[in-house]
Amino acid sequence: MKMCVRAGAAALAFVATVVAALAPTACTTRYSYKSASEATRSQAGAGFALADDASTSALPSVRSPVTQTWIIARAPQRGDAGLGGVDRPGTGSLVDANVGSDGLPTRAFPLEATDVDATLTGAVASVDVTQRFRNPYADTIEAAYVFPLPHDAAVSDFVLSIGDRTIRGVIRDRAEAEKLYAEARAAGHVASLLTEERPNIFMEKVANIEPGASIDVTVTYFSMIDYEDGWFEWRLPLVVGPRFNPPSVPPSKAIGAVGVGDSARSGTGTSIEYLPNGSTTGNRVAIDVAIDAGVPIREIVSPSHAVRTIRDGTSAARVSLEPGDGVPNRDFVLRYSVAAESTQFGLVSSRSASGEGGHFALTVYPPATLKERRRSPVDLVFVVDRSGSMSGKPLAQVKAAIHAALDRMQPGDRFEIVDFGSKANSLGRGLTPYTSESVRAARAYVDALNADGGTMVLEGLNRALSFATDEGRVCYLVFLTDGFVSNEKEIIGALHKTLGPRRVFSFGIGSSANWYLLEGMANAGRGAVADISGTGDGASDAAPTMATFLERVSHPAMQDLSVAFEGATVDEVWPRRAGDLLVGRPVTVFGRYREGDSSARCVVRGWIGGERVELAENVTFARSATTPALERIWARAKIAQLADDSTWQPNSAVAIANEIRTIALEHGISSPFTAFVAVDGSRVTRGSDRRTIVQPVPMPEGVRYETTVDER
Amino acid sequence: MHEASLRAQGEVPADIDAVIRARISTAFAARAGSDAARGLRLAGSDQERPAPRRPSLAWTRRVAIAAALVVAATVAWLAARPGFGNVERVAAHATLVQAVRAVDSIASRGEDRAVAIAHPGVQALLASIVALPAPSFEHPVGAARFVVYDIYLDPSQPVAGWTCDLSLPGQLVGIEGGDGPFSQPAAYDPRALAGGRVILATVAGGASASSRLRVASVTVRVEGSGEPRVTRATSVGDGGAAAPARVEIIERGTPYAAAALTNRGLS
Repeated sequence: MKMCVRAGAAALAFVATVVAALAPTACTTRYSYKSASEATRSQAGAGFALADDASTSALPSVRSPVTQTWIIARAPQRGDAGLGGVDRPGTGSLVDANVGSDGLPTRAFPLEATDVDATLTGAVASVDVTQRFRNPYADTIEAAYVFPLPHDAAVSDFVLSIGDRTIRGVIRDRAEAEKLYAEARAAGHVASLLTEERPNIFMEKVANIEPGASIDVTVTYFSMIDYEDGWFEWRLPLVVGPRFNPPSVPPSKAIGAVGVGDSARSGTGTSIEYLPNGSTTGNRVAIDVAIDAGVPIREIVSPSHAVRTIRDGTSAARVSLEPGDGVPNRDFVLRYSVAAESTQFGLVSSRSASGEGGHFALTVYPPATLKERRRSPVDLVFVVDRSGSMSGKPLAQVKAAIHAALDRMQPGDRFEIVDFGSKANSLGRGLTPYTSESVRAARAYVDALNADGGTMVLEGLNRALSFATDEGRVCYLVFLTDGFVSNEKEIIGALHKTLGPRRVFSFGIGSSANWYLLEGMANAGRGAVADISGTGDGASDAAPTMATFLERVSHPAMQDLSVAFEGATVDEVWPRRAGDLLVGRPVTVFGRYREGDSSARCVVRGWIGGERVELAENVTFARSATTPALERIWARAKIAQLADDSTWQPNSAVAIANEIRTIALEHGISSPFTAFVAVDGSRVTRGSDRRTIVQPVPMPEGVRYETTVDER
Repeated sequence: MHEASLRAQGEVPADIDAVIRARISTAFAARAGSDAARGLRLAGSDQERPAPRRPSLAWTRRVAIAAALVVAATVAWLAARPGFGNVERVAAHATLVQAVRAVDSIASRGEDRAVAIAHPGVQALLASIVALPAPSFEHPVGAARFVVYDIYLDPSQPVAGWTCDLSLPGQLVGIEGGDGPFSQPAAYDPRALAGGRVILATVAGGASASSRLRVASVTVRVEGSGEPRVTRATSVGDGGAAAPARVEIIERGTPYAAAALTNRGLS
């Protein structure tokens, strides 16, 4: 009996040991061990040097107790852990697939929610985007998520939140940040990395998310708010559309559009996994916008989403997304009109935190006399994207837009229609006078267009450029596209090299257009962008947009703008070449002013129909850091200019890249050559992170999965 | 006691497998040898007395050992799974070793112990100890080392804001918020960071701090054997008046003050 009791007690003790060893307190064992070794190391390194005249104070040496657990290790083997082979998204795939009550597949993925907190003050937007990752799997994972931000966003902060703890990431050279992240991941630390794949496409990775653990990642950016025709417009992209990769794009620069779990097979540098139409993940977006316009607000609308608006006095308001409209499958657009006084210039300035002068954003409003000038005949070449991604509603919007334009054109105008998918076609062989016959033929041609094939924008551009133009008449290339391509730089560079005196207007089609490409094309072509992305049937969205467009192009613009400040030293004004001032559309430039400059006379010169015009007004620079974000917005504008230069100066690519890197590091903002990295070194996670879960995204509203996603 | 020799002492020899095997064998042999010296026999020994009938364990002992082996086998199976991490494997190793000791304890008599050692399950248990994969205890071989340094401020007057210039023994990769009014992570100067310096600054989110507290922590990817230093520090009270404070950097996980600096505040 005694022996029996003894044996039973020993067995119980053993089981208790097992339970204790496998319980979370196992970490204690580990850290006790670590403490012992660290104690030795710290003793060896006692007496840390101090600068200045500080006194040295070392706390007494205390050796941590060593537990009686003894530990056996096999020497690490090749392939146990490390960087190789586990760093690529999609090297593993865990898909928790279930079928919901509606019969559609419902899947659990790491991205649980996205909270957007925006403050729109005057013309500057300050936005926090918080993504909440939660590991729904039984193993520790790495989560990878590709998401969009505005192409002009100066991303300046990156914060990890783990429970009550917050950890700020730092900006680093991109290669260095990627290496640090990989090392932290291999060492078992929670870490995160934010890289810029395009100015409007970012990749976020979060390593070592333990089962059931929640980690928030907050990205903060600043940008300017668009202003046209008395309306401010703030746009927040929520999903990246599926990109077409032309043969000219090397695989490392390509952006693949693949089905769930297919990233590893895409063979592209960046992959986005799309859910079939009708499927979503659990990720829902909550948006809260605080508006402080500084002037009375007349009206607030969102053409894209259902919102709830609460006014706070005459010039402030709070707008939030209705909870039932949080599927991130289209851009969020908020517009508000203001009762602004008629001025020539709008200046926002702020003294630099370093005390070396300051930065400013100058908005030049078009003179009212532009609209009063006589209408001129216009030459329009419609360049229509009829690729696979335009199938369905987007192509319907394009057709409606061209019909609306044809409705409003007048005798004396000329036009042509080019359409492109994998190859380009055209209605005729050159600009055709606007007649009832030509319009009838054009309508029939447009109605017969079908969406199919790739998105060879350059094919369409080359066809459009092949048409002869007349001296004395401005030819406008009117691109109607969703811009879902990955060779943006190639297209913008081609426009710089070949456009000549033509102008480019680009219309964003669909709910999630590629505004980086569209803006880049318009800037290279000294034109403007417009949005046809409403929730209507196409015709209702297109008609007012086309009316505004024709109003703009049929009146002369103020061209070849130059900006000068008399009485102040101003330099580094970006963009280097301001666009044309069109009816209703202002132009904004960013620059620096020297310390001590407080007021100046701003003079903008240009040409209207062969007549030299000068606009002048006294302005005052801020003497305090009233809008510190301006410095980073200015830096982002400079980077955008340099990136634009690199599209048509390939021989200077290395020098330009170095300059962009330097600017981004000094101002702490993202760029193609810098990245944010954040590491929580305080603990090593349980389990080893050997799987990467790529967060899939829903198809943009109106885009068809079957015509855009590469399924193998 | 042989347990003493089995304690982890802070260093893991490169040939740990061989060492462990030797220690296990030695431990059992020593226990068996001492029992034999007290007149007990070992199975398979070459003593002159006629070989007796092979002893068998009591039923209760067999059940206890079997239970131990089942649990040990479960642990070994769990530990061999791909998702099982470093900490779990470390715990699993410890558990298996405890299993060996439990078996040894249950089979207290020399005859039983010898039978237990010969038991295929115990042999498998010993083999699993050696074969079980386990990452290293601190960092994988060749992997980077990330260290957290806590920054403490010990003010003589209430402090509402502070800035300090740090020299770190590697690359800064994270800035964690501190305690109390300094719970938000400090800002860093990107221009200084681009030049290889680390300048942190923050202001209190609530009431000023009047006693010693952690104001920030930094994670550093350590290179070599450098030491952190505070090269400059400034702290202010409400309204921007100088608020002298003592600044310390302490490597987390150790009780040592790595650096300390008495800050004279703004002058």
